[in-house]
Amino acid sequence: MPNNTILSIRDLRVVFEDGFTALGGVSIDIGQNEFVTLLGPSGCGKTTLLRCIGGFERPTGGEILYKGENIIPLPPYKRNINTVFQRYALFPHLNVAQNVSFGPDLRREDKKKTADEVARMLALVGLAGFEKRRISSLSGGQQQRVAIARALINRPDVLLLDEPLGALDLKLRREMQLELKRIQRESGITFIFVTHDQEEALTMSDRVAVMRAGKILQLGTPEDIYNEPQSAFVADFIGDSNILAGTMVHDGLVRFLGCTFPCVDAGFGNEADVDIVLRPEDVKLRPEGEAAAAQMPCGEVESLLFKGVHYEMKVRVGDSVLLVHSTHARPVGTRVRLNVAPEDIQVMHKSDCSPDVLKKHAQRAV
Amino acid sequence: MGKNKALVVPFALWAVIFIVVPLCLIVWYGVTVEVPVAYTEITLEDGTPAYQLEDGTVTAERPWQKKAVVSFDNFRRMLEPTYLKLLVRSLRIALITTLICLLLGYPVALILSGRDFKHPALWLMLIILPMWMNFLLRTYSWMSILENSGILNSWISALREAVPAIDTWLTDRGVGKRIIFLYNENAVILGMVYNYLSFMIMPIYTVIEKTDRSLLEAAADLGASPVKSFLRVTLPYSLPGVLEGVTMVFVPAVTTFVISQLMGGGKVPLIGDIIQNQFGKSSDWHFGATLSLLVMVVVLAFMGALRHMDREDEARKEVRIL
Repeated sequence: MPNNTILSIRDLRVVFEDGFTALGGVSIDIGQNEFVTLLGPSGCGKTTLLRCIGGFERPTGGEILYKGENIIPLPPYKRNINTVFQRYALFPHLNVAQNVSFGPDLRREDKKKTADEVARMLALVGLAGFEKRRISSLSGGQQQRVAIARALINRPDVLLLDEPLGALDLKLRREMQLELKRIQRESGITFIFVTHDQEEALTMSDRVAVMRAGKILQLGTPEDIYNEPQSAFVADFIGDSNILAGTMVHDGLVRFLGCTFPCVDAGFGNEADVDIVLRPEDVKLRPEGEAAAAQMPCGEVESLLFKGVHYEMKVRVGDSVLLVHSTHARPVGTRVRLNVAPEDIQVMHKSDCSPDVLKKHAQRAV
Repeated sequence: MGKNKALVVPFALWAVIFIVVPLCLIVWYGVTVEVPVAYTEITLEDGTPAYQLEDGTVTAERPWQKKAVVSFDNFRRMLEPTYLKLLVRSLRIALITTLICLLLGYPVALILSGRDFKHPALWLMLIILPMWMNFLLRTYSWMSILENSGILNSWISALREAVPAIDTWLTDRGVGKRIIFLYNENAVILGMVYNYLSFMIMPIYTVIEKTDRSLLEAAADLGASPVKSFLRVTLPYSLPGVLEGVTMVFVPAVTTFVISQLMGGGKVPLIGDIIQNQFGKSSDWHFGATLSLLVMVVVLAFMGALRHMDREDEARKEVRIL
């Protein structure tokens, strides 16, 4: 919870005319100069939330407090918040400099001062000297940077970014991620960033809000979200993971894959059905015959892929197939024992994303 | 010949038959006049009078044929004040019509393309629907509304009878019992505006409607009030539609003759009326063709000027309005 809150969203609800609930009560406090990412699959409400903050969508309930004042009645042009739109929405009839100076020109600021400011902003986004260029002559990455410069020149307190890197290739994406992070640090502006790319979210954010079906499922630092997912959905959405059905025998002991494992989780009750999340890199493979791991589950390597930094293996244990990342390759067909450290076992309450629930749905569909 | 080229043939043929040939004919008629063929009277050996044509043929009858000779007499005639005045009047009426259509049509197009406007398709249909009726029928209905014993006048009389105060007020201002709406320039302009308004609305609507809404959101985001968003984004984007609408209204307005004949009752002749006359009553096709060429040049010049404005606008890519 930030102590210098600039934006406070309280129980925000958006129900569209057709009855679809885009936001079902979202609350989040965002601090000064924080980089918050709204992460989720398409249709989860992340863009709707951003559009509510920008003033383009009228919430049907709740509050958006900006420095303590509810800004929902204010039209977008009266909010000191700027947006970098998904497809940039640059004005094709204006050149780069005219696009960037759109805001200052509207406020009738001094031309000379504005021109200097435009040059400074273009330099900041790495487009120095592009003033006279036509928008149509720019590449996607350049357009995106013009859109950022156009928003930043207004010195907003909050900058909203709606999947601005979506149209870029991987290399440019990476560069722009670092660039955006640098701009955010240097400018002192609060960034609210929308993406469906979990890697992007983890790389750039101070905090990540994972959203699903109009709700925030989990809000936390990238490390928290990755290491301590609170639900199978979050675990599945953030990075590769193995989600298994399990039973909490009692506090500190959990049973899955037919074996019992010591774990660090507690408070689920005795013999309670739970979901288990194992990160592929946390699953260690041992030779089958190793005595020290005799009570661990046994499996067979089904596939082996070289991924550069590591090997990706699929290991079959009974009915389940586990994804395992390791720097040590084991040939297909090798019998192995699985070893998981207690702190690497994530125990979670059952949800509608649990593997057995999903399987049931799949069977019904068939 | 490639497959694609073969596909062009029917169109090329069509273009030659219906565009190139008629155009050539108009030009030919325009630059020629008809004169009686020249002949000399001769006396044949047996003493009977005869006529010899220039090519040597001899006939007993006095030659009646006429032939076309290249002459610019019609161009000289065209520049007489009578015709120039008609042209100026036609241009003036067409410009006024275009302006009124723009002033009426633009707001309509803007409202119809509004984000919160319900059922734009239905309203567009209602605008276009009258245009499916016969053009003459539509104009005649206006006449029956506006004529001296028409609907409008009978309503006004009824109102005057019902409310004496209005009657005295009108009589004091010298307004007769029957107000003459028809057979003047205003009636002609009304007829043109009514008939051509949808040609203005449609292209403007199409352009505004397909303008990326996120541009308006971006303008609002950067601090533009709805008025400034309109002036800085919607208006410059709709200019191509405006130019198209202006062309679609101005060109038929400058060449029409039916509206001026019906609504103007022959009292407001336009250049189109005179041209029609040359091909009708006066049956001087050559002069008619010359006048057509004149109108064609004027219209081309007008469209060229519009294009130029458009291109200038594109080159500048900037709006001077604010």
